[in-house]
Amino acid sequence: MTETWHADRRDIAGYTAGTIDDTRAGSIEAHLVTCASCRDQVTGLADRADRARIDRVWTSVVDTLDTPRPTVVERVVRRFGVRADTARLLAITPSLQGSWLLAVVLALGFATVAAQSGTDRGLAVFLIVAPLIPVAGVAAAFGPGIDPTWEITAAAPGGGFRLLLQRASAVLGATFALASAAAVTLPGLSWTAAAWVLPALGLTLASLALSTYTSPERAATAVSLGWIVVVTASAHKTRDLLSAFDAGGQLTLTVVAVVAAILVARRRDSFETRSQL
Amino acid sequence: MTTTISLSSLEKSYGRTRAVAGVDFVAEPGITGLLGPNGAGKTTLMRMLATVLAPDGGRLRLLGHDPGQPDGRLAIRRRLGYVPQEPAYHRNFTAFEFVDYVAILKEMTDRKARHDEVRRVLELVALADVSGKKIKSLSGGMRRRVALAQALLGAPELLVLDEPTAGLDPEQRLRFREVVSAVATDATVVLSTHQTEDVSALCQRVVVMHEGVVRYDGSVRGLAEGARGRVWLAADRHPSARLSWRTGDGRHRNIGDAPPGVDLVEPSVEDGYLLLVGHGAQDKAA
Repeated sequence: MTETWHADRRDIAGYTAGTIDDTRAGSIEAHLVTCASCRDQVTGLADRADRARIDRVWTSVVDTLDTPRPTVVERVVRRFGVRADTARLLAITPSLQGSWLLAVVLALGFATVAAQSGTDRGLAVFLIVAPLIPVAGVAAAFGPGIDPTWEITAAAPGGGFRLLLQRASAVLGATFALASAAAVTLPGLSWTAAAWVLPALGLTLASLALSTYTSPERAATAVSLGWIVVVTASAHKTRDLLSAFDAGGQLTLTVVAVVAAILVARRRDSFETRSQL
Repeated sequence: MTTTISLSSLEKSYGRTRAVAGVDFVAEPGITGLLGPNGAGKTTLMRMLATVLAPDGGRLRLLGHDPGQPDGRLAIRRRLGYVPQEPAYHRNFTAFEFVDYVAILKEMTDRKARHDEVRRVLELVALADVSGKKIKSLSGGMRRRVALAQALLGAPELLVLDEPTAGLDPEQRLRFREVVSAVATDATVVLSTHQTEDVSALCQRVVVMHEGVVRYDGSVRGLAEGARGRVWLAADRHPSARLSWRTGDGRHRNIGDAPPGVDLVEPSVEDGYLLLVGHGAQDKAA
């Protein structure tokens, strides 16, 4: 039996793609039983549709398999609204790795235990140690000799100062959170529990500023040793172990933070192109 | 033709050592080989071309920009691919993850387009089949190809390759030559190497560096021609030879001022190179 009419092309395309309603699909199917020409059209369209669908599915499967699985760090920073690609850049920061964070927790743990004695000496230990943790963390965030891919990274448009700022912010956030958690466990909670915050900021920025002249490790070591010497000398002079953390000390470190931030901004080129490698 | 690289009186010192002591050259699209023994200043020069090391003096322009200026440097880095001398990787990265990481640094923000580009470059260096493997489990040659793959991201106009063929077996080296020669139809490639074979096979032009200065800058053929009439075979090492070694057929290949009547042979690029760098290359000849 030969049909003298043919189904509308749009109906055939809709039938093939599965987008027309059941009634029209039933009508098309009834017609296809008797019309070889329309059957050929359906077969051709179905082949193309299937191929395109298979390609789409395959690309999606390959992409899913290739897509790196987010690490714990990535998952955490993404919860704070960080973009997926930026989170990827942060995830391999040496000072955001589990082993580093464990060392931070242990250092803060010891300092907190010392502070539990309730004496000025114990509190001084905590206040000296807590600001040094972000200093070390930021120094270990990015740079030649620290990041194995530094040379490739530095030659990319998103490397250099931009990456340093991203990683330094993430490290500061993580270490401040841990140090704050430790600080609230100090006995007789008072303003002194927060007396490490400005020193931490000032010393970290000072270390960054100094690292525009030398390596980040040397800068962090020099700033840390300088900090310990200043606090000890101040305590010795005033016979008050916490004298470096009083209003005068806080003001001094605020000035240090501001001056260092200005210096870092002015000398940011040295994070882009090193004068020595 | 566009001048991609322009150096004049470029200098870089480490303490009292002048690693690059007043280098001049220009490069255009195509492959320029940088030959020289260890300590010649090649890597220092390559790092300056890759914008990661600042020169102490002289003038450097890349892709029409000054890398000493922030805007110029950013414009260069957006069109640059770089393979350092000793590429290192984070321990737990797979090949795909590492190249994807560099692609993010190269400002490829669209995930699908970025992943497509990562697959393209891994395919180019024949690593598509092992893209999901940890880099630490790959062979040295494969790791080199991972480094090359990241440099090819985004089809850069300037490729700086510091000894990219070190550790590659002959088949991998051939594959490398195919990839780089295909890229170099549009891009400017600077290839630092110890291997005169790479230079002969790939480069239109060669720059020979020794002790921080350029000793030769010209065609590859011209480098070999420089040794014409100064290479001969003899039963023994000749006293007037600057360099001499015993070849596979038992005769000595002598390079230097040839005495009359000796059996002169066709010079190779390596002969020309060895004559130029003299004692600095004697270790290689031995």
